[in-house]
Amino acid sequence: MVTSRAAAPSPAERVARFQQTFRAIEDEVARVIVGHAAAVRKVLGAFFAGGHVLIEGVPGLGKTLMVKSVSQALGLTFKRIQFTPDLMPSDIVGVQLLTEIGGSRDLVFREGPVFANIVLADEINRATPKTQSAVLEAMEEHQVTAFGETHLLPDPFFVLATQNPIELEGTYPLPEAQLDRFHYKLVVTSPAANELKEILRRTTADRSQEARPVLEPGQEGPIVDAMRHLVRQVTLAPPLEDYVVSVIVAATPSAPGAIAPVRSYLRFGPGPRAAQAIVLGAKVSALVDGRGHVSLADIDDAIAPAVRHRLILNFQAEAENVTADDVLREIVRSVKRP
Amino acid sequence: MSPNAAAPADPYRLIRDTTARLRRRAREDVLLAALPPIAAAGGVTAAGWASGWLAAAVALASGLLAFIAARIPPREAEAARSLDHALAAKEHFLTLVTGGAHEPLRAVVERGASDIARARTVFPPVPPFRWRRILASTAASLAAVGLMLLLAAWRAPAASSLERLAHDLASVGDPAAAALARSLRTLVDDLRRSDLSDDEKRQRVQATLAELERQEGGSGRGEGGGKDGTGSGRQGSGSGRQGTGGGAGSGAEQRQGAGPGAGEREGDARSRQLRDRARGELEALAGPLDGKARGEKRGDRQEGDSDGGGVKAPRKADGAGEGPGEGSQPSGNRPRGDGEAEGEGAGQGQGEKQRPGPEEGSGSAARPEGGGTGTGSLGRAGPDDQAEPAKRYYAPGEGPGGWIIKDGRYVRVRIPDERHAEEDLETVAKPGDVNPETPYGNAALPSAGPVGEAHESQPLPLEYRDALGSRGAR
Repeated sequence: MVTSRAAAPSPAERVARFQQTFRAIEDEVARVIVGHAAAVRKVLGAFFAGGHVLIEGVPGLGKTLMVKSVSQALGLTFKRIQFTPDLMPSDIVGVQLLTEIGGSRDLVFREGPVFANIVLADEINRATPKTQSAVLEAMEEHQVTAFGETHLLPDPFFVLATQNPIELEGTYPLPEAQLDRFHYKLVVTSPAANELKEILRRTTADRSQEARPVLEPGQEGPIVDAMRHLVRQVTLAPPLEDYVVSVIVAATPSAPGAIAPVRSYLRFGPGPRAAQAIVLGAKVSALVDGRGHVSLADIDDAIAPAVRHRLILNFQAEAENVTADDVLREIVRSVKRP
Repeated sequence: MSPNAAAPADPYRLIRDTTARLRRRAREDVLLAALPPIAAAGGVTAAGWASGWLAAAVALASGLLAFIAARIPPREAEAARSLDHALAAKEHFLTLVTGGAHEPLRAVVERGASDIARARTVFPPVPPFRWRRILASTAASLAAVGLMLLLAAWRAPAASSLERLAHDLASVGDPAAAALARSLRTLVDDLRRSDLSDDEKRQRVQATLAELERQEGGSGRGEGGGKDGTGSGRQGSGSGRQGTGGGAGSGAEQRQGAGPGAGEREGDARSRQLRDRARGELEALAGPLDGKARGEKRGDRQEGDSDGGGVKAPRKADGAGEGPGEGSQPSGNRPRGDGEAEGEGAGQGQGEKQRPGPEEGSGSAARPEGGGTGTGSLGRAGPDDQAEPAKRYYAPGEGPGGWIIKDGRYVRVRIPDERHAEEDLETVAKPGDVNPETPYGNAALPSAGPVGEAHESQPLPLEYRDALGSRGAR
């Protein structure tokens, strides 16, 4: 179990502890979740980078279990919201109930499920935009406003939304502005054969496994804060910074040097949040690898999940069945590496 | 690439060493790329194909290149990149070089780089030579040398033709021709010298040309000053060479008189022909720039010659005499005097200073109206002797060649009435002819009749009849 120390550790020790904690959480989640190691690492990376994650995948791939396991391993509170078309913002944020307290009746704010450290917004694209915006405001501001009162959300606050790529009828696709608020967009694929066999072994036996908390009970918040603070201290060499900027600029259709696929298939390119997501994700990867600086591999690893949902395809791309990942591959290929 | 197990673990030293190696390779690249043009230019200069200016330029360029090579900055970032690539260091060295000195986790980066430096077994390879650049430089240098050789070959024919002329002149046997041949050989040598500029070479050409004219002028005066060559020439700005006072006596300077045989005259004609060719070659070499100056010099000299007497003018010469004297201009572009010149030849001698005339010495004088029994050869016999009137004798719009028509355009004006009136002929219309019609408005209306006797149908103007139909028509 990871505990917080009173004495100020050296930078090397802090990096080592980050690496140790992160891998301990990964291992604990891996005890429950079969496969999806990369997705788990990305989810944790987004968590320690201070962002939120949108997971896209068909039902039954263990998305909910993965998030639940992460929250259990972190020892943080977890709530799940199943988004439906009739879900109202108050169902998420909370309501005021007429409550009798001490012989008098008063309106008391009853917190909604959004008040948790880790919130799973399941099938977020099934709710109306009004309800979606309630969650997205909470994601960005880390606070909610209900009945004229502002309520701070617990810290850390991490939203993991899922959306189903099939059964799009009756759904409300997230607007581009709201997609931009997700740090990563992960695509969960079906498990491989050996993974599926392991899933069967684990889920059909007469034993249930749950992730155990890795962080010291009661100190989860400070430990997570310290780890998030360390992420921002990781060094990024200026040439690598230039590379990130080049990728973002190359993905902008209106940029002078935009390549042909970008001009042909993109309506809008990524904004500054994409660059921030790449750099923060790369920094987390560096710390997980025990380094105090970002490498080119870290950046490459973070580009796809950080940028793919920020590339807004046009009609031609949809007509030609061109995906954002296809365009992104061309972009990365066209940018000169440092 | 060599094993370096005992290398220090200091990553900064490793970066410095790699930077020095890369810098050395960059210098080698610069110098190797610059070597072919410098070698080519030096070789061309040493071979005498180029002037000293090129040698100075080569020396300057060499110094500049050495300066550039010495000023190549150390590329630590590039060295760090090469170290990262060679040692799979995950940008440890690049971050050390380019990252800030006060980064919170710099110690972690340094420690990781030290571990990598200690564990390395190879030294990062130096990038290969930039062969493509070196090959391009070599190809460009060879092309430049080839171009210079082509230029030299292009200039050579002028000099070689002068050499042939000098050889031919030397074989004539005439002392003056031999002197001219020597001058031409000297000129050929000068033209091949690389240390002379074009202006200097042009001056040499002009000097040789002047010497040629001086020789010819001297011989002309000698001929004019023959025994019986008492012709007095009055010339505005004519050529002294053309003045040939006809005299049978041979003076000291006279090279050919009537006495010599045909063989000697043929030799003289060949000498003149060669001189003409030499003149043409020299004038072509001198170019148009020296034409003005040469014309001025010649005019001055002609003034002096005309005072000497015995000189005729090319145009109008009232010289007297008959005989085989011939006068001609050596070349067509000799300046002609606008004034009149008169020459008189007295005596029986023959003076020759005429080039394209008959060689037998039996030509006729252009102006055989002079008195005396001698033969004076005045002017050249040919169509140019038809004197052209001065401009003041021409009518407006008229010139020596007839009517002056400049930017003429033909305009055909047809005035039918006048044509008919003037020709007073019966004309038959042809297809396409203009048939003027009287406008409707001008057609005479029928008389309206007496006032107060209005008819039922009033006369209508012609132009309304079509519009109104036949109702109102009369």
